[in-house]
Amino acid sequence: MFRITLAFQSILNRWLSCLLIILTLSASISLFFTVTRIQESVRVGFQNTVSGVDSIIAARGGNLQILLNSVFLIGEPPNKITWESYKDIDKMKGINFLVPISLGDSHKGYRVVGTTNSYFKNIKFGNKKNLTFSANINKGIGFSNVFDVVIGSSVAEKLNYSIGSEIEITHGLGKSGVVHSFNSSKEDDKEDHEDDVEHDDHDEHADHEDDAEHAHDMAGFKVSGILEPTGTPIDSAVYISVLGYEVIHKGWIANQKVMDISEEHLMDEDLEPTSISAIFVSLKNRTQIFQLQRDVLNYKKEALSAVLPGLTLSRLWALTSNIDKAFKIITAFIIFIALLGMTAMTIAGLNSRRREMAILRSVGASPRIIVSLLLIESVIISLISTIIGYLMMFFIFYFGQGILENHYGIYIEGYSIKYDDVKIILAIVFCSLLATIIPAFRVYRSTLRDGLSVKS
Amino acid sequence: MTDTLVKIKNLKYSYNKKSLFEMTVKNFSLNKGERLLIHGESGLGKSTFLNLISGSIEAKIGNIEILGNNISNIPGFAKDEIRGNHFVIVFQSFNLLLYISVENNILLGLIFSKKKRFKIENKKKEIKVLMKNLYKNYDELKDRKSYQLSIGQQQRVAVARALIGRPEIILADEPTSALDLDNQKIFLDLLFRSLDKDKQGLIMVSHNKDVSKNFSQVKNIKDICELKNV
Repeated sequence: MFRITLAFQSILNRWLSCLLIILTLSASISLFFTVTRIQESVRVGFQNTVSGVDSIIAARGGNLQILLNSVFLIGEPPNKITWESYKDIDKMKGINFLVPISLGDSHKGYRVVGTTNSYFKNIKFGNKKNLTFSANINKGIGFSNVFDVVIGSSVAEKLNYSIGSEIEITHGLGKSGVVHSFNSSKEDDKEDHEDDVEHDDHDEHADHEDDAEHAHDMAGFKVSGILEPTGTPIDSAVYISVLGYEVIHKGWIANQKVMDISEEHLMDEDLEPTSISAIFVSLKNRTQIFQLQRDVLNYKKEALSAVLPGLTLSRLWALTSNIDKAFKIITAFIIFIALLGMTAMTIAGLNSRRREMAILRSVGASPRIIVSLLLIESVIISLISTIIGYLMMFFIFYFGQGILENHYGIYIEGYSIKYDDVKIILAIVFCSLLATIIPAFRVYRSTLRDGLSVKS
Repeated sequence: MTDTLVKIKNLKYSYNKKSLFEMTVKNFSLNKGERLLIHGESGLGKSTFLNLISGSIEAKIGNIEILGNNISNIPGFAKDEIRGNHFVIVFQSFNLLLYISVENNILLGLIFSKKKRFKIENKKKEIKVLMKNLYKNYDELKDRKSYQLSIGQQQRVAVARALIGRPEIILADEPTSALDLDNQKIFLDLLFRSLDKDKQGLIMVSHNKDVSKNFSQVKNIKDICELKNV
């Protein structure tokens, strides 16, 4: 115990140089932990978003594109599939539930997702948590009217929406586009464009170029429910019913509005969606997944793919793992450089500490004890640095979480200390011991050589 | 139990193979109760002689016995243990670790020696008794950091550390040369008053012969060692 006190007081005696070492080390350690945690959070975030969905069926295409677009609302929407296919799949064996997804529209940069109440009832996030409403006029079911809108918590917060807020849906994913409307284009449209442009901070939600983006003003859409935060892309989505989606696309072919249709005319029609973008599938028994894949591949009426989210994600991670590794190596190098700095400072300080060593030797401390004091000092310094570095990481996330969420869609989970981090901390302490070996060896030699007679 | 604390026979020492300096000690001994002053000009190897006795440096040829144990061919850690248990060394100055308190500096004398600790029942009480002898207002001093003391005060604390745990051999390397005449006198009086004549022996080196009062023997370094290429 006395040795630790001695080492600690020796550090305090050289507080300025030790403080500099601690600052360098802790900054590099916090950088390492921050990068690691962001990487983990991106993965966990992706994994959490697809909880409870066994497969995603969409028009045949790249699996990754289908997954990224339908679940994470990133990139170009896949081609449409017919509602008939949806009904056929619903009849397939072993289906637990289906959730239709229609994509391609946006609201002020936020993606609009056409779906059914099945989404709010069945889709889970994180560790199998159900979606819940923070405000709802439909008693938790989502839509009761064709023009009901459910919005994610970020949308509500950023656009300051509450129940009853009227919103308009823009055709396409661009910042500006044609608002869906039933009447010929109005003067309001121009204002809408300007309004949309102001929200350029959401451009990640709308990374499409507006080759044929059109805006339509939809008088009828009103917020009927607001979801609790989930820490997933759900927070940044605007949900309308597939029927609502169908309604606003009447009179449109591809990205062109070819005719105006009145609201009354629409409501008179027998409403049924004609096409959707994707279907989330849950099976009663997950072992039937390959059967489903086969059935979907063999489906004759149109070319479909059944994507396995877990498998596709792991392929994505395989693609990005080298970049992950590169980041980790760079940050580890920064720690290594900081440790080199520590070694350099310790060596530089040794000469002025020869008297200290001689005093300790005179009272019976062996060179080994003196070396052990040096090692204890480096353990103390590295432990303090890792603790400060770790706290700095929390500090960074505390202030940076909002930016990460809004700009990059990365949700950092909690501030818990992870088992892996403890291992890394121990590794850093061990490395700092290694970094002290050279100065320790010099001390060992010089104490033997000097004996008790350092005159400096 | 032998009365001889230190015994040296046919010792030859040089810094390293290239060094021309050579120190030869044919016969030397220190007994209990003896107080030896070794004087001589600077650079004649007085400190080297003390280092050899304390086992901090090693001679390739010859024997050194400490309390009857030959330390010439034992491993370094064993020498450290013997030094911790039976020796104390007082330097010219800078005897104390400046960043720890006076009390902890005195305790340092015990920390690396089980034997010394074993001799003491109550450490704090022992320190107090020792320091009361050396300094009137010890209570006011004990929690101060050592750098807050004057050189004279520091040397007294060094004496207290020297005496705690009652080591048999006290080596003092020019302990008075940083002090003025008054403080020299106070320091030596304290040192001699605190020595246990039946158990402890003192070797002090100094370039100044004027401090020889109270020593039982006064020798020139040249009378103890043969020196080559100084």
